[in-house]
Amino acid sequence: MNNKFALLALLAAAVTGTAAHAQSAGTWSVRAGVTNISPDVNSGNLSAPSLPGSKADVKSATQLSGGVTYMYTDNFAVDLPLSLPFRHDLVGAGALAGVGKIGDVKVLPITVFGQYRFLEAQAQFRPYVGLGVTYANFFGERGSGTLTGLTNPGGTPTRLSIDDRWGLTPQLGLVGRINERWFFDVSVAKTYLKTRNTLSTGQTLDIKLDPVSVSLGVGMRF
Amino acid sequence: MNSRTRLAAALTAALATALLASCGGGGDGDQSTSFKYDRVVSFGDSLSDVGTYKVGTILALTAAQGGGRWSTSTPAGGDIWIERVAGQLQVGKPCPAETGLSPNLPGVVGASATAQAGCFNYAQGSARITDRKGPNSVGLQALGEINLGLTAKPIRDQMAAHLAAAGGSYSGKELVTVVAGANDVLMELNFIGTPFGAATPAGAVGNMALAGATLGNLIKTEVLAKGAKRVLVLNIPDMAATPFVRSFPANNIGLADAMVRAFNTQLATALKDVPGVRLGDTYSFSKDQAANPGAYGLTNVTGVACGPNALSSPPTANGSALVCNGTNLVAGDTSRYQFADDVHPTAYGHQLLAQFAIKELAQAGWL
Repeated sequence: MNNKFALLALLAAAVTGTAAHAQSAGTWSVRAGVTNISPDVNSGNLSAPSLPGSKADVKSATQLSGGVTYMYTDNFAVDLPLSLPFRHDLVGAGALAGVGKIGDVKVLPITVFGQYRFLEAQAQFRPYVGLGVTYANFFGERGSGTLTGLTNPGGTPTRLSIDDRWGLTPQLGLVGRINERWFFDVSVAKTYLKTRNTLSTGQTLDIKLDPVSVSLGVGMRF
Repeated sequence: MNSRTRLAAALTAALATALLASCGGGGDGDQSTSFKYDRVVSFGDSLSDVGTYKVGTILALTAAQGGGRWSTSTPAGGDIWIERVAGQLQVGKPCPAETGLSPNLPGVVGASATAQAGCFNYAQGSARITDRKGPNSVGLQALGEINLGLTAKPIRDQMAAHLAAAGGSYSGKELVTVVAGANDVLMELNFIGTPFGAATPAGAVGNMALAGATLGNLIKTEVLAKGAKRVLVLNIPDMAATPFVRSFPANNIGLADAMVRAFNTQLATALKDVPGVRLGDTYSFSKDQAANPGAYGLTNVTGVACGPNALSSPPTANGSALVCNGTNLVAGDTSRYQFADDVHPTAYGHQLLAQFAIKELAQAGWL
């Protein structure tokens, strides 16, 4: 990751002042970079039978990412971020604080943003605001030995499944011109997302994930 | 290809990859423990006894339908907490380090005490910390009692037996479990005002405090000082919630509870900040179960699941959990009862205790 930041800095340093048709209506662009997702978890209690106050927390994850943007007008854009699936660890919280990892899950958040980009198409820096619709696709859920021990000790391994859900995602970002063809893009987005975990032993856990995504990317226009 | 077609192709490929990746199922995660245990070594009483007395008549009564442990032994398996914990640690099923029974009841057949090589569960029903006079024990037969003749080897002697079997020390790769003290409460209550107990109730509470400190010191000198690195100690559960103590007059319920708390307080004091010890507060855990049964999936926390059986006296009374199994339960669905007989948990109660023990191990970083 440090190398990527260094690259970004270098590219930013190479910025020139040449005016052109950057980010004008009808322009396509693609970018590549890295995204960190940090869930801002508010966990409910695991349903009975369980140790009262059993909760979960979800750790952050970082993955290679990118995206495609189409400038519908000089100011309105449609943006589709792309990434490899993120793998998040689930750990115990509440009455289960300190038990460590209880499972992990992969998630592929698919979001389509509508964005408004401020200033003129050829401005050096263009801040933007966006609102997206996200479909969070959870898969590859795996329970740990600890989860089995907490729910069915010594028995068959406890499995875990997490419901796929839709969420709304407001976004703030900034695009900076490097030259006529290249740019960098920084954005922060928060997805309002609630889902339900279901254990093979029958209990459920409702959890607000509300993840904050921070993305850095370098892109090129067509 | 022009740049837009290339872009569209790249986009399609990326989406296809992402969607394909999302088709994988989860399945079972890694069940292994972060620390690889050699074995579980258990000291204690009936709560951890995996079949010390499953010999002679008891074996005959339980061989086919299950039993020989102090629980309901049903449904299938019906494991007690330590069997579940050992299963979770992937160290194989625990077996009794000694078997034997010396009944003086007419018609009940026993067997002489026999050490079982390769077995490290020393827990015996009726065992006290240092005294041999546990409920229904051989020790009480000397006082003229007619009973089952439980060997009831005290915790101190159980620890010595393990050191003798293991060459005087621990490898450090064992999980050692210690659960004891409840039989001291029962007998101290019974013996108040006799030569075998305290003169007064306050004296009985003092004796329990002493027993708690004694157990704590035994754990330090006979277990930790001999090389054990991971010792899970569970204190005495809330005995005032058991059907047995609930049947007492109110002031005696309070006395029993004071005795339990005196023991637990001294045990905690002796083990405070001692490295290698995790002390689980089973007292609070079981108190919460009695107060909030629904949260634990318990449907009955006052009645007993075991109906009349071969050990019942009189024959129509609800019997001991020792020979309890699916054939002699009370009518109705007892699968989520807390109590098997008037002091011991059902298999479900044991499952909850195992879940609690696993939580303690995980929080200690020992799972």
